[in-house]
Amino acid sequence: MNIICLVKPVPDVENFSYDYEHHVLLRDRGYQIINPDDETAVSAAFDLKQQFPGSTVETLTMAPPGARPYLEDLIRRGVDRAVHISDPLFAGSDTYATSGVLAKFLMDQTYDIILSGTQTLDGGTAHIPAQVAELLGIQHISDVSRIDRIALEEQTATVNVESEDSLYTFEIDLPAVLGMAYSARNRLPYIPYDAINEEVGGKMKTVTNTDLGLERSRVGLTGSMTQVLRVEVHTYARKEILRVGTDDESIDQVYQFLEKRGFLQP
Amino acid sequence: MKRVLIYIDQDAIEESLDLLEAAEQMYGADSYTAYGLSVGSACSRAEGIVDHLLVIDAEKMSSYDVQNITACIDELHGSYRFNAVLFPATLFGRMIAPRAAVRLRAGLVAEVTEVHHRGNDILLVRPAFSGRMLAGIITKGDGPVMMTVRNNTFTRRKRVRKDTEIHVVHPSCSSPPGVRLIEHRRKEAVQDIRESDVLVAGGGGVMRHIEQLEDLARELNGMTAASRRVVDSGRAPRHIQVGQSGKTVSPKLYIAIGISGSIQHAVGLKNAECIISVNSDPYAPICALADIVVIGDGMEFIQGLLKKIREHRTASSENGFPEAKEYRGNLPGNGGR
Ligand SMILES: Cc1cc2nc3c(=O)[nH]c(=O)nc-3n(C[C@H](O)[C@H](O)[C@H](O)COP(=O)(O)OP(=O)(O)OC[C@H]3O[C@@H](n4cnc5c(N)ncnc54)[C@H](O)[C@@H]3O)c2cc1C
Ligand SMILES: Nc1ncnc2c1ncn2[C@@H]1O[C@H](COP(=O)(O)O)[C@@H](O)[C@H]1O
Repeated sequence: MNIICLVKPVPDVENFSYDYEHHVLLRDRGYQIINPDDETAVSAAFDLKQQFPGSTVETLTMAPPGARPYLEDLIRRGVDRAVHISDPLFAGSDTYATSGVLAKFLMDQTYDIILSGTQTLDGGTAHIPAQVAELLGIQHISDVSRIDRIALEEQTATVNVESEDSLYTFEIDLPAVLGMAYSARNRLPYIPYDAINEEVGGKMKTVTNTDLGLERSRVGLTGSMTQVLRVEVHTYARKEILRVGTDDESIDQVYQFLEKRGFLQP
Repeated sequence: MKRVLIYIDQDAIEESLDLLEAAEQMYGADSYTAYGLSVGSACSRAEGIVDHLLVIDAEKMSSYDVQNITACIDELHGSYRFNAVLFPATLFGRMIAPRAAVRLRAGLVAEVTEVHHRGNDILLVRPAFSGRMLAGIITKGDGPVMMTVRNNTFTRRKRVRKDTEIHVVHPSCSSPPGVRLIEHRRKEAVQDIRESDVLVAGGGGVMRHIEQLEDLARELNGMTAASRRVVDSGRAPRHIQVGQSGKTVSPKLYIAIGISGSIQHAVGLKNAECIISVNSDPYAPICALADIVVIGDGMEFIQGLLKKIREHRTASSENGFPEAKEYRGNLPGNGGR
């Protein structure tokens, strides 16, 4: 079985610096991580590879050159091949343009299943997997909590999907894009000690628009259907604020406030 | 007249109809015609609310069949030429909207929180880049303006009852469904934080003591809630998460303990009446949202306040209601309490 995982490195929200004085993101200081949902997808791919010996697990990423070390690490963790789509022409692509690029590459590949995350930590739009599926003319489902069963002969997968208030089981025709929901249980294995410096260049493939041949008008800012006009730091409306501490007198002020507003039970 | 299509998710009908408020903010109350698209049943709750109800027969299509629904939206757009297409950000709304955007070659903005105007453009606002920012986005091209909207972001105002025309849609495009429902179970109904008047919410700063928030919540007759930091760490269940990827709450009192107040958390608090923030960092963003800022350790605060509440209770049960009397005197405007 051929499994392709869509993977994106994203800024690590938790370890991320912001200069409140000058209102700029300190991007270079922010670490990148593999988007958590995508990590779950790759881990699910490894599980499938165990179930179906002889399978290959490939990752596909569209990202600036700086993403390369993260993709090399994925290979050290067991990915068979990592494809890195990178071209200055693609800079500024929104989800629409990005999906177009990813789908253009995928059109010429063979795969039984495409695994992705449900959404990214930075964009968080959940657009890409659905749009890639639409462009490839295949099925897609998101928020997959478990791949229950793959029936290769019938070309179907049975998956569990979880929403806020419901649990579903669906049968879906393959090939399909399955968007995995983050699960803390599905993490990637650590890099084995002797593989830390392993040379993995042979399993990396870099793809540019020379290979894909997309028209310039279809990619980057010009190929995008949305445009960010302004980005502003979120500021909250000012209001009268009572500032206190945790000493007895302060706590008493809070108590009186609660009492006055009727929050304390008689 | 502008034409706005609203996708009505059968599992979230009211939430879907709330999107009319977003349409109204885009075009003004009397300048657009509202079309509702309902898959599977006539959706009587939309009658009187939208101008036109487009219904795809359940025999022809299930509401899980995103590929065919997308093709059908494309076909409808071919005849109606919508100016805007809106989806609730539900499980299936979030799957259909991006596919439809590809079909209609339209710009799609996810999880819009505000609608503004800029010249002739409609400026859609959403939280961006790990929530430190708000992005104002316009859509380009000839396609309709498309967006998804989380529940409780907009609330439909009551208006005059409309004479809804119902149209049964006969899609010509339908192919056998590629996704089939095998089983559907509702999760066990748990108490919903959206229904509680008082929420005691814990964040990264008190992550290790999250159960102790229960005590305070109980004293205040409320429930506990949490930030995503705590939920992701596995110390609190997902259904009590407040924020962009959790719930939008509207309590009378929200006590945020050890929560920094990232915008993703804060969007869930839009409708909170009164916020008390307890944080060791006086510059945490949440402090700007709060009515009372307690600067200090969250656990110290909880223990101090619990002690105070219990002391007062013992005192008042021992000798009448001296406390109540005392406070009533110096609290103007609170006569009846
Ligand atoms: C797409 C997307 C969606 C998201 N959705 C949500 C969402 O729905 N809900 C949500 O909450 N987050 C969401 N987030 C995450 C959000 O960006 C923040 O990472 C998260 O809210 C941080 O949680 P926190 O404030 O509890 O933790 P932290 O950021 O770790 O903050 C901890 C706070 O506690 C204070 N503190 C530390 N020690 C103490 C102490 N002893 N006593 C008192 N205070 C103390 C610190 O000063 C700090 O302010 C989302 C992020 C993204 C990218
Ligand atoms: N640039 C990218 N390269 C490869 N995969 C991506 C990229 N962007 C998004 N994805 C995939 O699409 C999923 C949803 O992303 P998003 O639509 O940005 O929320 C992610 O979890 C990835 O699996």
